[in-house]
Amino acid sequence: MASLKIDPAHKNCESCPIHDKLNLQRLGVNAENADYIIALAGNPNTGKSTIFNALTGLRQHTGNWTGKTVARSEGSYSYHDYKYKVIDLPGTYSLISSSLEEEIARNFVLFGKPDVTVIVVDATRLERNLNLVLQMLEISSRAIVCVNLIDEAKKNGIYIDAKVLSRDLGVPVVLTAARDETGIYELLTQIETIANSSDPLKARSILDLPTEIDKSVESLRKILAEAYPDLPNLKWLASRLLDGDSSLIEALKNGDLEQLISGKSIENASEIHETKAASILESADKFRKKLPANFHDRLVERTFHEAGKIAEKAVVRKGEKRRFNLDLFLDKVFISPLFGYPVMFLLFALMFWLTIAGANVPSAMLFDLLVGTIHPLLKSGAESMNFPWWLSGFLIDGMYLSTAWVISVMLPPMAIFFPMFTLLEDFGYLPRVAFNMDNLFKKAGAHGKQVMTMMMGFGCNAAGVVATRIIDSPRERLIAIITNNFAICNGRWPTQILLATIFIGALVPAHLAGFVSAMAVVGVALLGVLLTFLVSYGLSKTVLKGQPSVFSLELPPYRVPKFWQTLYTSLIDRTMFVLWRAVVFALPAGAIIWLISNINISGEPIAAHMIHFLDPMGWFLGLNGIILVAYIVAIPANEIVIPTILMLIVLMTGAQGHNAGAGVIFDATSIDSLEGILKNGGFTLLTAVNLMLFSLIHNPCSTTIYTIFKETKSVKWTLVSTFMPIALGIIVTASIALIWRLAS
Amino acid sequence: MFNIFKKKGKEVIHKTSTILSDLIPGQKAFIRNLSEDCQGVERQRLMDMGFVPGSLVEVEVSSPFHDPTAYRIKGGLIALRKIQASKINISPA
Ligand SMILES: Nc1nc2c(ncn2[C@@H]2O[C@H](COP(=O)(O)OP(=O)(O)OP(=O)(O)O)[C@@H](O)[C@H]2O)c(=O)[nH]1
Ligand SMILES: [Mg+2]
Repeated sequence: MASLKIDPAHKNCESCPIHDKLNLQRLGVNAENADYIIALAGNPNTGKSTIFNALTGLRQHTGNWTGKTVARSEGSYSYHDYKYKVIDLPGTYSLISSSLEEEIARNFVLFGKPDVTVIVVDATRLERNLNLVLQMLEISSRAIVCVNLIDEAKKNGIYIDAKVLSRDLGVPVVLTAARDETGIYELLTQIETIANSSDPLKARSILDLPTEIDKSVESLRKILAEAYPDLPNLKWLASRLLDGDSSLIEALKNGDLEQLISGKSIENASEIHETKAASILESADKFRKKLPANFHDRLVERTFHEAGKIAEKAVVRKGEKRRFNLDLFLDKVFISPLFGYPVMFLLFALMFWLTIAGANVPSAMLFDLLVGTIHPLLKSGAESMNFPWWLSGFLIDGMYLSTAWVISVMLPPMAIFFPMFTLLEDFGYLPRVAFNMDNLFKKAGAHGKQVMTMMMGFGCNAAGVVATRIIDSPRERLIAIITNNFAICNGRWPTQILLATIFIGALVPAHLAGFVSAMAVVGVALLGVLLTFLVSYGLSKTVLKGQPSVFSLELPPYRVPKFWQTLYTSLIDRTMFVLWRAVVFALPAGAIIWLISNINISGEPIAAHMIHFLDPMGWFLGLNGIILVAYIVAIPANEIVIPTILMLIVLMTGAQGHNAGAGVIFDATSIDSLEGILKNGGFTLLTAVNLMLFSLIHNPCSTTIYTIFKETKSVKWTLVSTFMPIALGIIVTASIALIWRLAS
Repeated sequence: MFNIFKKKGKEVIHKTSTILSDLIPGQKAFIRNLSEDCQGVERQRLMDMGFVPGSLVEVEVSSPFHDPTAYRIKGGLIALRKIQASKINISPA
């Protein structure tokens, strides 16, 4: 196991003994046989995942917006003699959950029985964060309050008095700036202390309710205790049931509650727990009738009141308030009525232009190296080792070549696009796009947060579908899931970029080519956004009818991204991850393509039969048979569509070399020759345009389809999400082909 | 010309504004209560984000179509649609 390296220049050394660093071993995902379970909980966007990463050495995604983490993830570390399992939870505003990702967090804190709950709070918003802290202390006193972002607070003249806060809350308080790992070692020490202490701390309780309420809570608690002796946090549960918490009532009714406690499903118990649940709910109803109508509001107000008092004592403001409010100024640029849209458009256009312009040269170099130089070397090597032609064909012309194409076409644009996108994300721009566009989504009967899931979809649609958990309303969430496919994922960007560069950039003088092809790609992306609106509108007016639900979105403070760190992680994590996936799919696909191009049935390769069969349909769509075969081969992953098309053209049209297998003789030694290959395959401007459109509008990849099924648990909606885009794609491309041919 | 770059608007409240959606950027008020129309998840969310009686709220920016609008409350910047802001009763700051 790698211990943390000692960096004498590091800030931590000022405050902590150096040996502590040697005692921490970051164990990554290896969480077996942990001695203690540590939960990281707190408001959204407070730095939980950043702390998780600092503790475990993992690189859980972080981002400057609320709702970055939507599922719980686990990691571990060992410190001194113990091994700790750490659970990073989604952020939540209160324990009264209203969306799925909040429920995940709440259920773990309530029923996951963590040994220590680290409640991460934002030093600059202490009061609101304390509202959650107080609720959490109600259910667990084995807690540590970790006041994070103290660097940001300091910049705003805000200082937190940890001693005062700790005295008022009754649990340890640690001040951290997780991004620089300041205070992490003190956190480790406190976790160790609490985890190893047997007697529970005396956290303060705010549930010292007015007597009439208290009596009801207590009576209900007794009833619950009889029915579920193993259930932790009964007092809290009782007060929630009194309050009529619908998700808890549901959990009680269908037995989920028992499952959560025991961690396994209970069979045959349905009847028993049904009667049990019914009688409990009946009592709860009875007690509730006796309570004042605004019981719930009073509880929340009381908590906030308490939080306000505590915060006031613990927060020290020093220095004048800044005269110039940079955040407000930036907001007036990025989200104001006047500049919001133009700036947004320019930003995205700039990003695509940089990607396209910047990817050209490295793409050509990679292509030169992998296809122009290494491929012939491999071939001649195989020949000198007397490989049979089919073996070298299968391995080198099939598997190697498709992989080489995937890498040279995909790696450079991704290595430029992802880091830029991540920088924008860390800066805090993404939720502001949602803010800008919410109005349009409202008109389409959808939710503004759908924008954020679209943004995730621009990376990967499967990730976008999971990200829809941040949308509370099931109806709007379903709309977001079904339309996520219209956000072009990284598997499809290269197709767009390549075709735009070759066919559309070529329509204008060379010095404009980069700009015009970038605009073409932006155009397709915008068309995707337009389709998202139209389809959302259509769905919300027909099968998914309903009122627009509530919209509340926190806009995080702008943060200066850690440039090099972002660059590094987005390259290593996102780019390499996606590339790896593409390669994994490209290898077998290359093999299949080589096989179908070389196994003959009645005198012609299988691929030729398929192409001929699909050619009429292809013509009708303004595409061709090769493209359709490529889409069939590429159902597992969109990444390999373009390489498959190229391989098929080369294999089907290339000269049949002696002993060489189909089509290895072609002169694609530089990326410029891709144009030649495509034109050789009968590509015209219409084919290119329609392929760009079809790549936007067709079924999601297999991973995304599976994810949709997992998230919706519905075959019907999975089928809708799969086939609706294909139908739409066929309509769009066929109409364009028809009009094009009529007009020309 | 670019008056959006000017300092915040005068912090006066129209005597007639009684709901949050009436305020314009730069104006402040105290939350009086949440209206009865606002129930269930919506009410809970608003309260959790700090829209509880007595909190000071300031309007920061409106979006391109003037809906939603972003409000500064308890240190956080929260965007709400007009329809929701209209369910929040205020009293002058
Ligand atoms: N300046 C500063 N930024 C921080 C610190 N800790 C985290 N951040 C940044 O704050 C943002 C949010 O961090 P995350 O770790 O994703 O927050 P989270 O609590 O996991 O958020 P959710 O998963 O949405 O609940 C990121 O952009 C981090 O880089 C800190 O101590 N100082
Ligand atoms: Mg997180």
